[in-house]
Amino acid sequence: MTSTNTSRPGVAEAPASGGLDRPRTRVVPPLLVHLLAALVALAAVVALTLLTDPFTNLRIATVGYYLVAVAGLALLTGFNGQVSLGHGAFMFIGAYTVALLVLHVPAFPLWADLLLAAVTSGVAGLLAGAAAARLHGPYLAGATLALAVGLPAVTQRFPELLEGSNGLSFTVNSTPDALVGVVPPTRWQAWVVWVAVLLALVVLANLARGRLGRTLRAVRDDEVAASLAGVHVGRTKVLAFLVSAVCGGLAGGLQAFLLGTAAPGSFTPALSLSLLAALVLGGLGSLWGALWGALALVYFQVWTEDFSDLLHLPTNVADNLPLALYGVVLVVVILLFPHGVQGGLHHLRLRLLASRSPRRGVTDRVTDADDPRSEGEA
Amino acid sequence: MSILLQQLANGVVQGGLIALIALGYTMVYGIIQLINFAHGEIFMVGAYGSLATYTWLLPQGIKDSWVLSLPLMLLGGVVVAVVIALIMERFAYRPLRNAPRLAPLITALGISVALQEAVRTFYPDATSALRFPRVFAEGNLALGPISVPWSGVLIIVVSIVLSVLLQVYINRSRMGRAMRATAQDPDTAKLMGVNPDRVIVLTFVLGAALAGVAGLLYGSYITNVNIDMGFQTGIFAFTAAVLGGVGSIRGAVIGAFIIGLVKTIGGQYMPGGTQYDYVWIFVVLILVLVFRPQGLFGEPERVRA
Repeated sequence: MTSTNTSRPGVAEAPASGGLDRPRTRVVPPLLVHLLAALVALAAVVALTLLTDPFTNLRIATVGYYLVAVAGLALLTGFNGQVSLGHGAFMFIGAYTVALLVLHVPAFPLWADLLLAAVTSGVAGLLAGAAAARLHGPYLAGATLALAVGLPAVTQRFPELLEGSNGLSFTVNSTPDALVGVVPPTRWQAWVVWVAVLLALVVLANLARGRLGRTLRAVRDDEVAASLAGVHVGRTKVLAFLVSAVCGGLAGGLQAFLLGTAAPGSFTPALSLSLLAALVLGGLGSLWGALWGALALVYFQVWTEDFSDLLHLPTNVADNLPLALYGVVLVVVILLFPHGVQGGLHHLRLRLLASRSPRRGVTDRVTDADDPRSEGEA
Repeated sequence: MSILLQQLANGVVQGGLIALIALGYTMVYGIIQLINFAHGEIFMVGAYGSLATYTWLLPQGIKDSWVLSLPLMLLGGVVVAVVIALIMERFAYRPLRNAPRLAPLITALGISVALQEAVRTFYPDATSALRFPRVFAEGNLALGPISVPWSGVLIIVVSIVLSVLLQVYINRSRMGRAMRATAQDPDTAKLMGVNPDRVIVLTFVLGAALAGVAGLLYGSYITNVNIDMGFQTGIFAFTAAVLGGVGSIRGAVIGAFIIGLVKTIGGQYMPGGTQYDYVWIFVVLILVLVFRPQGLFGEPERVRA
C-alpha cells in the first residue's frame, strides 16, 4: 500500500527508454499524485453538482458508487484475470449491512456504517476467494454466478430481520445541521458518496501501481511462472477477491445510503452481469476503464430512453425499446472497441503520436503491457 | 414415498429439458471458449417460433391433429432458433474471434437483452405469458404411484435420444472429428485441413437446433411461454454444463439431470419449498466445485504455455 513499493517512479513522464531508469531529481511519490488527482476530481464533482439540478445530482452520485464497484471488479477481473459474474452479491452485503446498522444501531455515525459494510463484505470476499482460488474460467464464472443468484434468498429466509422481498427502508439525515437548508439533501449525498469513492480509488490506484498490482498481473498472465518467481498464487487470488469485495461492499453501502432502501430486487444476477459488462466496455486494463464503464452503466439507459421518447412510439413499444437498444448499443460498442473505451483511447493516442513522429508505424504497434493481454479467462 | 417417486419423475423431466439446452452451452464453450449467454434466449426464441408457426402458419385442419402439427411446429421453432443463432455468430462473435476473451461474453449479454426485449416488444401480446397449445397426446402415463404427462415422457425420451445421437455424431462422424480437433487445438486443426469457421458454425447450428427442440417441448409441457423463460432456464443449463464439466457432452447431460432432481427434491423436502429450489442447485454446484474444480466429467485444467 505504501508508495515505496513501486518500481517506476513518477507518473507518465517520457516513455521509459528501454533499460534502466535514469535517476531523476525529485520524484513525486504516486500516493501524492493520486491524492492530488482525487482532490481535483472532488472539486470537479462539487462544481458539477452545484451547476445541476437535484435529479442530476442523484445520477452523479449513482455514477460514483458504480465506479467503486466496477473499479473493484477491475482489480479482480482486469488485473488478476478472475472473472466474477457475482459481484452484485458483495453490493448486496454492503447495502444490507448499512441498512441494518442504521435501523438497529443508530448511534453509529455514517462513516462507521460504511466502513463496517466494507469490512463485512471483505470477510465474505475472503471466504468466496478461498473457495474460488482453485477454479478457472467457466467454473469460476458459474460459482460466482451461484453466489449472486443464491445470496439474496437469505432475505426470504429471515423475513423478520430482513423484511423478505420488500427489503429494508430507512432514512438517513446525514446533512450536518449547519448546512440544512443551505445545501439540498441530494447534493450533500452526492458529495458524501464521492468523498468515499475517491478515497477508495486512491487506495486502489496505489495498490494497482504497487507490488500487489504487479503480482496480480503476474498471476493472471502465467500462474506457473508467477509461482516460480516466488509469488504465492493462491494467496494473491484470495487477496484480489478480498480487495474487490471490499469495494463492492462499499458500493452497496453507498447505494443503500443514497436510496434509503436495501431490497433483494436491486441485486439480481442482471446487476452482476452489467457490472462486468461495464468493466469490459470501459476497458479492463486500467482504473480509468472503470470510470467509462460506470458512466455507461448510468447514461446508456438514460440516452436510450431519451432516444425512444423522441420517436413517439405507442406505449408498449416505448416501454421496452430502451432495454432492447441498450443491448444493441452494448454489442456495437464492443464490436467497435474490443479492448474497451480505454483501450480505444489508448490506441488513438498511439496513432496520434505515430502520425507526428517521423518513424511512422513503429509506435503504432501496441506496446503497452497493460492493454493487449488484459483479458480474463472466460 | 409416492411423493418422493413423483418428484423424482418430475425432476427427470426437468433435467431432460435442461440437458437439451446445456448441450449448446457445453459445445460452444468446448470449441471457442465462450460462455454463450444468449443461448437461453435461443431456447426462448425457439419456443416463440413454434408458437408463431402454430398461430399463423398452420391451417385449422392440421392444428386439430398433433401428429401433423407437432413436426411442423418443431420445424418452425428449430428454423427460427438456428437462423437467429447464425446471425448472432456471424455479426456478434466472429468479428471478435481475436479480441480479448471477455469481449464476446459481453456481446452475448447484449444480444440476450436485445433479443428478450425485441420479442417482448414486437411479438403480439408477448408482454404477458402466452398460452401454448397442447401438441402431444393428452393425459398421463401412470406407473404405479407416479403419473407423468405424455409431454413429459416425450421430453425424457427426446432428450436422451438426442444426446446419444450427438455423442455418436461427435465421436464417429468426419465433422465430429473436426469438431474435436478444433476444440483440442484450433491452429493444428487448421493445418490438418479443418475449416474452423465451418466447424464453429456447425456447433452453433447444432446447439441452436437442440435449444429450439427444447423450446417446443417446454411449451407443450408447461402449456405457456413467457419472455423470461430463456434467462432463467439458461442459467440452470449453464450451471448444469459447469457441474458436469464444460466441454463434456456426457457431463452436461448428467449435470442437467442432477440439477432437475435437486430442484424438485429440494423444493419438496428442504425448508422454504419451491421458492428456494434454485438455492439448493447452487449449493450443490459449489460443493461439487470445491472437491472437483473441473466439474464431474471435465478434463483436469491444463496449464497453457
